[in-house]
Formats: sequence, structure tokens, C-alpha cells
Amino acid sequence: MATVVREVMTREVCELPPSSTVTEAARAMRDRDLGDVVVAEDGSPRGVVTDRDIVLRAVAEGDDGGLQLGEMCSRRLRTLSPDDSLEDAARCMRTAAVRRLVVVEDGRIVGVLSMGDLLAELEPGSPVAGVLHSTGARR
Amino acid sequence: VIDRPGDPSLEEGIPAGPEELSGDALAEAQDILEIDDRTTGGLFGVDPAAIEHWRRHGVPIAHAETLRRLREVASRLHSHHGGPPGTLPTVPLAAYGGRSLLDLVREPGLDLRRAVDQVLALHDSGEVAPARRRDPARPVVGDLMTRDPVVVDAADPLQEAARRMRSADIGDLVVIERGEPVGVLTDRDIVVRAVADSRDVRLAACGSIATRPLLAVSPDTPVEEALQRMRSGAIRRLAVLEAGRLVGVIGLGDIAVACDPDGPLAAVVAEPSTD
Repeated sequence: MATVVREVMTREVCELPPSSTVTEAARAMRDRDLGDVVVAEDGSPRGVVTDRDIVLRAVAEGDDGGLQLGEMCSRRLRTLSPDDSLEDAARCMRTAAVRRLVVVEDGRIVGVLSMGDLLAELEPGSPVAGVLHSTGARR
Repeated sequence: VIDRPGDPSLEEGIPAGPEELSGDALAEAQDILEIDDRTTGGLFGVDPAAIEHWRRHGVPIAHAETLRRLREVASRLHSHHGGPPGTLPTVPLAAYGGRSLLDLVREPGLDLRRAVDQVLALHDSGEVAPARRRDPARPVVGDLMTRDPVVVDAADPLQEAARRMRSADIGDLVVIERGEPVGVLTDRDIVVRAVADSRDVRLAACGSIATRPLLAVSPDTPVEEALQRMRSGAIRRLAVLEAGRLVGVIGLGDIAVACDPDGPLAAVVAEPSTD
């Protein structure tokens, strides 16, 4: 059974530059079936934009899709190390009330850990985890 | 054990005189009667909105004396049916000639003991369906659902849906068309079906994006079955319909929190996320 973030994280990360638009992020989320994109500049993470962020900060304001991601991900970014324990990762998600954390090693993005990844590992047999699995990480 | 009038424990915290029920007393009356939606509450006259409705129609509202008598009926029904406290049957109104249990209880000058005997006789004769008792080990959707779900009209623009999601801090809405619930719209739907296609969120209608048909369960559906429906439909939320009327929604988060409030599942699936 996995014990650290490295063993469970998703290595495929969608990185977009801060100048990308909301429309571009939405297309990436749709085409790659992701719930979020990492906003990165020169390989280092600046923030995360989720599908929900797009709804609350762009659609609710009547944005035409041209808003840039750099203007949306202003909050302090919480990251994990690949060697953090899964328990620490769960605690971090809980206290930060987020569903995903960027995994950073030596200042570079190496993966993303979602609550779906975590649940499948921590409670693989639970019926609730089963639904999470069948509905994907986000939907 | 039958509550006796004059028992000090009965009077504690209960307003004297013909005041309407409020606060704890109202909650207790609702518990006793297992009132769990506005309609039922309206018939019994103890739901705040219903009280206002019945007041406008000149119907006497519940008051402290009513609660005292209600407790007595509840106590007798309880000893009759057995089971743990707080698991009294919902009383089908039609079985009592269209009168509710509360109507019986608060009828001035009514011989309460005799009325309760009649109620129990009806139960025994089988004219009334057996008491539906809450079994904590097998919760039903009605126990966990969120009542009064936030809705949006099929003709409303997506921007309006997004505003409601933001102000209510939720991730999905039930879409209503010509008064009927027809589908569900999630925050993700808006992103992948509208924003990704460069649709104008100020113009595109919710009805054109929503997932249809509506997947629904009833308040009596066991929670296990609701989970199964979510799994097979690959969705995290179901509408709850009673006689075709939308009475609530139940999400995976509601179930996780109820099953294991302190567990990691509850912590992470509690919806919606703020990330």
C-alpha cells in the first residue's frame, strides 16, 4: 500500500502560462478530462485554476472567456513534496479546503494530487470512494 | 409510559397559553410527528411557512397545550408500536377522515384518550399502513437530503446559474422548465459545455447545457440504493422527488458526512470545494 504522495499522484499535469485565457483553460479541462490546470511560469507554479473557479470568477461576472488565468489565481499556492505522507496530504487538503494540491520537487512541478487519488488509496473499499472513482476526480 | 399532565418535566421550556410553537418546542413537535417537508408540515400546521399560510386562512395554529397533548399521543403510540424513542410513525392523514393527528389532538373538548384509542384501533385493523419506522442502520434519502434545493429556470442564462452557485456556495442546480424539474446543471457542465465552446454565458440558456433527463430518487429510497444509482449514472447528485414534486437533492457529500462525519471521506467530499 502506498504511503507517500509520489506513489499516488497524477504525473500528467496541465500547465498553462498566466497569459492563457479562461476559454483555453476550459478547453484543456474538457479535452483532457481534468478538473484543474496549473498556472506556471518558467516551470514554477503560480497557482491552480479549477473548473469551479472559472464559474465563480468568470462566468458569474459575465466574462466573455477572455479573462487571463494570471488574474484568477491570486491565492497563496499550497504545495506538497513527493515525499510527504498521504496522511499529511489529506490533512493539508482538509485544512485548506481544497481538492487538489500541486506536488513540487526542487522548485519544479512534478505532479498533482487530487482527493480522488487519495481516497482510492486510503479507503479503496468504501462505497463512497467507489462513486468518486466512477465519476472521475471532479464531476 | 404515558406522559401525565402536571408532570413538571412536561411543562419545562414550553410557553404557557395559546402561543404558537417556536424554537425547541416547534422542533419537538416536528420530531414527534416526523414532519419532514413543507407540505406535511403545512397539514399539521407547525412549519413556520405553513403557520403563516394557515394563519391567513384563519386556521388555529399549534400552541403549547397542543404540544402537551401531542406528547401524550406520541407516548401512547410509541408504547403501542414499541421501538426506540423518537421513532414514531408518520400518520397518514386520509386514514383519519382527512384529519391529521394534530387536528385530533387540538380539537377543543375532545376526549383525547378516546381519540387515541380510535387511532390505535385503525392501526390495528390494518386500515392504516404499518408504521414506517426510521432504522438508523438503514437510512433513507429523506433522512440525509438537502431540502429546498436551489433551482434555475431552463430559460435563464448561464451567468445567472453561476451567480446562484456562488451565492449559495453549491456546485449544481436543478433546472426547471414549465414548472417541472427536467435536469441538473453543474459548475463543470458550464465550463466544458459552454465556456470551452466559447458560448456567450450571458445569453446561452441553462436548459441547453443541463444534463437530462433528471435522475431522481424518492425520500423513501434507501441510501445504499441512492449510492448505487450515483455509481451507475456516474454522477454525484440526485434529485429527490415526491409525487413528481421536487423536495430535495442528495449528494455524495451528504452521504459521506452522514456515514462517517469525521472520516477522510467526509472531509474531502463535502461539497462544494472552495478550490
